[in-house]
Amino acid sequence: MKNQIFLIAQKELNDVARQNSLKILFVIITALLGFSLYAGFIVYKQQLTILKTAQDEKRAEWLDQGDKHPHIAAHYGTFVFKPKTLLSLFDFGLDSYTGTSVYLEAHYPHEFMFRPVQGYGNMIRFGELSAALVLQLLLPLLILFITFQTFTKEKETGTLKLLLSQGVTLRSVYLGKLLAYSLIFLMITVPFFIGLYILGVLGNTRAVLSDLGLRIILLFFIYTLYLVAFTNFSIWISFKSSSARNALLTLLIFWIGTGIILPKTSANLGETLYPLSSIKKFKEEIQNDIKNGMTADESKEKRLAQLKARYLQKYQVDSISQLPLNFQGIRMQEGEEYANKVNDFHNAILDERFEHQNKVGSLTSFIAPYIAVRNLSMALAATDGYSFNDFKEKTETYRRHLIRTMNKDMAENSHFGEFYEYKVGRNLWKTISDFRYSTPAVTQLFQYYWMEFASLSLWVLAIFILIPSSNKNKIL
Amino acid sequence: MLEAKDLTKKYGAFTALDTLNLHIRAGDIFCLLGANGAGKSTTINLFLNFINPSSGKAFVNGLDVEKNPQKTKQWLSYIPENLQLYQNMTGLENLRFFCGLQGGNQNQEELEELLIQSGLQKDFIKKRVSSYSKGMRQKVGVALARAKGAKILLLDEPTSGLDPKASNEFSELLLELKEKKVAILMATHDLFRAKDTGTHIGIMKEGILVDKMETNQVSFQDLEQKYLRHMHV
Amino acid sequence: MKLISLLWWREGFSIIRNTFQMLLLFTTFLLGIYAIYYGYSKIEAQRKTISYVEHIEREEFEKYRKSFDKSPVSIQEKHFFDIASKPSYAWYRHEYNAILPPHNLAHLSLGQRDVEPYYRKLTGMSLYYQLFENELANPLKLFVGNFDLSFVIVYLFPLLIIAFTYGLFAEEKEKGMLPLLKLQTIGLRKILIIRMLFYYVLIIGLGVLLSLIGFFLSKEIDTLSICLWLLTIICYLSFWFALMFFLISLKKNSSSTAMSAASLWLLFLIVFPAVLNIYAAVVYPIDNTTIADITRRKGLENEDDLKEAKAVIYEYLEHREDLKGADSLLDTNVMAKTYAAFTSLNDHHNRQEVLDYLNQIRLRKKWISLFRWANPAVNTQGIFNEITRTDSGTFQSFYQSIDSFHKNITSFYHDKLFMNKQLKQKDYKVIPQFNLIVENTSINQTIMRGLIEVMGTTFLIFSFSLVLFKKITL
Repeated sequence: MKNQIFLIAQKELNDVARQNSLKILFVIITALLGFSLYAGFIVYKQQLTILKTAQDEKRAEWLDQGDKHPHIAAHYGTFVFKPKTLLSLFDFGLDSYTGTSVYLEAHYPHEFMFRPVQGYGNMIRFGELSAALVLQLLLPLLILFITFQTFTKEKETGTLKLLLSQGVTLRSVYLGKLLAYSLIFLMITVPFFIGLYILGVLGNTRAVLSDLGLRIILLFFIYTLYLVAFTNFSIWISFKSSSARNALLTLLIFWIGTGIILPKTSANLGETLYPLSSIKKFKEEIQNDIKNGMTADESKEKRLAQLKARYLQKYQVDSISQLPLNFQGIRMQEGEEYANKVNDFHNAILDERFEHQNKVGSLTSFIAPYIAVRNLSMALAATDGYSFNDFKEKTETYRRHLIRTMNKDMAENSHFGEFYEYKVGRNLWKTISDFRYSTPAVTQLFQYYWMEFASLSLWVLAIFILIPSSNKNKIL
Repeated sequence: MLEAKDLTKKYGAFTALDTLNLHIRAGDIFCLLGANGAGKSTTINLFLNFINPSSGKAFVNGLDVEKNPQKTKQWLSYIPENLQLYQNMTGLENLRFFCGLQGGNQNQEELEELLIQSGLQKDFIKKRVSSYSKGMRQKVGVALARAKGAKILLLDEPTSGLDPKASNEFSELLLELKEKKVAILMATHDLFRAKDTGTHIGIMKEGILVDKMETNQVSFQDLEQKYLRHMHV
Repeated sequence: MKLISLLWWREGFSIIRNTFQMLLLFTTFLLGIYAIYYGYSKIEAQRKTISYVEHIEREEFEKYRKSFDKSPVSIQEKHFFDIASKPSYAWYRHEYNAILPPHNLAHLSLGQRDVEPYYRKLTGMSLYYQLFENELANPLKLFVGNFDLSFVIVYLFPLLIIAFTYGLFAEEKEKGMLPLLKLQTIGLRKILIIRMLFYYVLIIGLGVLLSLIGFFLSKEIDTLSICLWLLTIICYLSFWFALMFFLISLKKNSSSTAMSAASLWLLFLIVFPAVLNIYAAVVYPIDNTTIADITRRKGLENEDDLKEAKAVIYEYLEHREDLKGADSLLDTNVMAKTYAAFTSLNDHHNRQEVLDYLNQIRLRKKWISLFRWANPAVNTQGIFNEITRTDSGTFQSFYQSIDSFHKNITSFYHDKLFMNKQLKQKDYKVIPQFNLIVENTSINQTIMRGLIEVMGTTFLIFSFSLVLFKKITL
C-alpha cells in the first residue's frame, strides 16, 4: 500500500509539472517570496542604521547635557526608539501601526509616537508585501489552484474507478495526493526557511531577538501545519464535490472568507463589542485619580500628610527641615510612585480591553486558520501587540529607574530648600546605563496564543478525520 | 467466476436492481442489454464493490465481494464507460502507472508489447492520451487487463462512440481474451455487437433480468424482436 | 427589446433557482449592511467625542467669561480668575480644540479617520508635540483595517461579478449548448453582452441599494457627494465587468476563466499595492527619529537666572516685529514671558525638522500616486476617501489649518503677555476660532481625474475584448 501511495504521489507531481499555467504561478510565487524577503532585508538594514544613529545621538545628549539639578535632568529626559527585530524582515506585523519612539521624562509617561502609517496615504492600507503575506495568502491560493480538480478530474475521466478496480483504496489515493501536494509547497518553504535561518545567523543581531534559531524553526513548523491543513482541506473539498467548478468555487469562497472577510469582521466586531474611550478622557481620568486619589484616603494632600508623618516619625524630628534628607526629593519620588500606580491601574484596564478585542479574532481562528497563522507568525517575529507591550513595559521600567535615581540623588545629596543651587553632572548621568532591549523568551508567547495553537492543531487533526478510512471505497 | 444470487440494490423506494441471478463462467462473454437506467451499470458496480447490495450477494471466484473487497479485485479488470485516462501522460506512462499500482514490474519493452498486442498503433504509444481517440483509449484499457492477467473483465458500454472499424477491432480483442478463458461481462446498447461477440445475452428492464439466452440459439432478427418486445411492455 | 427581455427573463429564472447564487447575493447584501452599521457606529462614536470636547471647551470659556462678573472670594476663585484674566497663566491653560468633523458620508468610507486623529487639543504650548499626539487605538485593528461599505464595494463586489459571470460562455460550451446558440441569427457576442448586462444591472443595483441605505443614515443630504459616490460605483464595477468580458472572450473553460479572474483580483487588490508599498519603503525610507526631538519639553536650565531668561525673551522678540516696545516691559512677568518665548522658539527651531519629515512623506506619496491610474481598485478606494473627506490630503489640510489656528492662539495671548496687558471679559467674544480650510475644488478635480482614469481603462478593455471575441475561434 505504501508503494501505491508513492506511485500516486509521483504521478500527481508529474501531472503538475506538465501544466504550464501552474508552473508559471509557482515561479511567480517563488519570485514574490524572494523579492519580499530581499526588500524586507533592505528595509530592516535601513531602519537598523537609522535607529542606531538616533539612539546613539540621544545617549550622547543625555551624557553631555551638562551640569544641572537632577530633577531638571529628569525632565530633560531621554528617548527610546523601538528597534526592528531581525524577523521583521519576514513578517512586518504591526510595526507600521505602533509608535516608533517615546520620550521618557518625569511625571508623564508619554505615549509612543509616530506610527509609520500616518501620513502614508490610502495605499498603505492595502498592506505591504512581506514573505509572511506570500506564505499566508498567496501560496494557499496556488495550492488551491493545483488541487481543486484533483479528485473531480479523476471522477470525470473515469481514472478513479480504474484505480479502485486495480485494488487501490481511496485512502491510498487520498494520501498519495496529500503527499504530492505537500511536497510542492515544501519545495518552496524548506529552502526559504533554511535561507532565512542562514540570513538570521549572518545578521546575528540576537541582542534584540531572543531564541532566533528556535523562532525560525517554530515559524517553519506552524507554516507547515497551516499549509498541510489547507492542502488537506482542498483535497477533501475536491473529493466531496460533484464537479471541478463547484470545488473551485467552494475553495475560493473559503479562501476569501477566511483570509479577507473573517479577519476584518472579527477585528471590527471586537472593537464594537469592547469600544475604547478617547485619549482625552483616558488622560483626564488618570490626572483626576492622581490628584484626588483612587480612593478617598489617597488624595494628594492626605498622602503628603502621611508621608511627612512617616518620615518625621522615622527620624524622630519635629519638622521636615530637620530631616537628614531633602524631603522635596522624597516627596517627588512618592508623587512619582503614586502616579505610576495610577497609570499602571488604568493601563491594565486598557490592555485588558485590547485583549478582549483580540480574543474575538483568536476565537474566529477556529474557523479561519489564516488568523491563527497570522497571529502566531507575528508573535514569533516579535512584531505583534504583546511584544510591543513588553517593549513598552520595559521602557517604562527604565524611565522609572531613571526618575528614581534622579530623585534619590536629590533627596540624599541636596538640602531642603535648595534647588537651582544644587547641580550634578556626568557622573550621575553615567549611572543610568543605556537602554538595552531583548524580546521575551519565545516560550512566554504560548500563554497568549493558546487558542491559535489549538486552532491549528485541530485543523491538522482534521486530516485524520477527513481522510477516507481504508475500508471506505464507495464513490457512488 | 462471476455469480449473482438474488442480488438487489435499492435507493430508497427506487429499485435499481431486483433479485438478479446470474452465472458467468470462464470463456463466457455475457452481454447485458437494456435501456438507460435498466440496471446494467448497477450490476457492474456491485461486482466491483463500488456500491453495497441491499440484499443478495455477488461472488467473484466464489468469494463474496462485500466481505472480500480487496481480494476479489485481484481477479477483476474493468474498463469504465468513457475512460479518459490521465490526459497529460502518454499511453505507455498510463500503463506503467496502473501496472505499478498492482505490483507489476514489467519493463518498457514488455509494456510496449502489451499495447501493440492490444491493437494500439506503435507511433501513438509515446504520445499523450489527450491526442487519443476513444478506441485507442479502450485499447490501453485492454492492455491493462492483459498486464494484470485478470481472469474477469467488466466492461461498461465499451463500443459506444466507436466507429465500425474500431468497434470491430475491439470485438476481435474480446474474442482473443475469450480464447484465453477470460470471463467477460459487458453492459451495452449495441445489439449487433452483442450478437456478434457475445456467448450469452441478458435483457434487462427496470432492474429485472427479463430474458436470458445463448447467442448461438437465436438469430439477429429474433434477438431484435425480443428486445423490442421487452422494451415496449 | 424582445430579445433582451427574453434573455433577462431566463437569467432571472436561472438565478432564483440557483441556491448558491442567491446565497451569494444575500450574503453580500448582509455584509454590506454590517459594513454600513460598523461605519456608522464608528463615526457616531467620533461625533460623540467631538460633542464632548466641544462642550468642555464651551463650558470652560463660559466659566472664564463669567468669572469677571463678580470679585473672587475664595482662594480657588482667585486662582480661577487669574487663569481667566492673566495671559501669563491663560496662554498655556486655556484649551482649544481643532476639530475635523466627519463628512456626511464618512460612515461609508472611513479612510484614514481611524489612524489619523480627527481632533486636537491645543494650547499656546508647543505646537508640534500637540500635533503628533495619537488617539487610543488597537494596532491590530488598525492593521486589519475597516469593514466599511467602501471595502465591500472595492473588495467584495468584484468577487460577486466574477462568481456570476465567469461561466457565461464556458458553461454553454461545456453543456453543449453552443452549436444551438450559434445557429441563432443574433450572434453569440450580442447574446453574451445582453446576458452580462443583466448581471451589470443586478450587481450595480445592489451597490446602489446599499449606498442608498447608507445615504439614509447621513446627517444631511449632500447631492454632489451622493452623485459622485454613485458614479464611482458605476465606474469601478464597469471596470470589473469589462475585465470579465475580456477573460470570457478568451473562450477558455470555466475553471481556467475562474482561476484567471481570481488571479487578477489578487493582483489588483493585494499583490500590486503590496509590492508598490514595499518598494516605496525601500526607495523612500521614512526617518521619523529626527522629529522625535520635538516631543521633548524643553525648559530653562536655571529658572533663577534672570539673565538667561531675558536672553530667551530677546531672542523671541527678534521674530516679532509687531511687538515693538515689548522689550521695555520686560521686568514684569519675566518667567511667564520666558516660557512663552521658549515654546515659540522651540516651534521655530523644530519647524525645519518637521518640514523635512513632511517632505519625505510628500515625496513618497507623490511617487506612489504616479501608479494610482494603473490600479482601478486603489484608485477607487482613493476616490471614495476623497469624496468622504477621509483621505490623507484632507488631513494634511487639517494640519495646515491647525498650524494657522495655533499661530492665532499664541498671538492672542502672547501679544497681551508681552505688552503687559490683561485679558478682559470682552476679549472672550473674540477668542481664536478654528477655521478648517479644505480645498474642495482641488479634491473634486482629483476625484474627476480618478473617475476618468477608471472609465478610460474600462473602455479600453471593453473595446479590445469586443474585437478579441470575434477573433478567437474555438
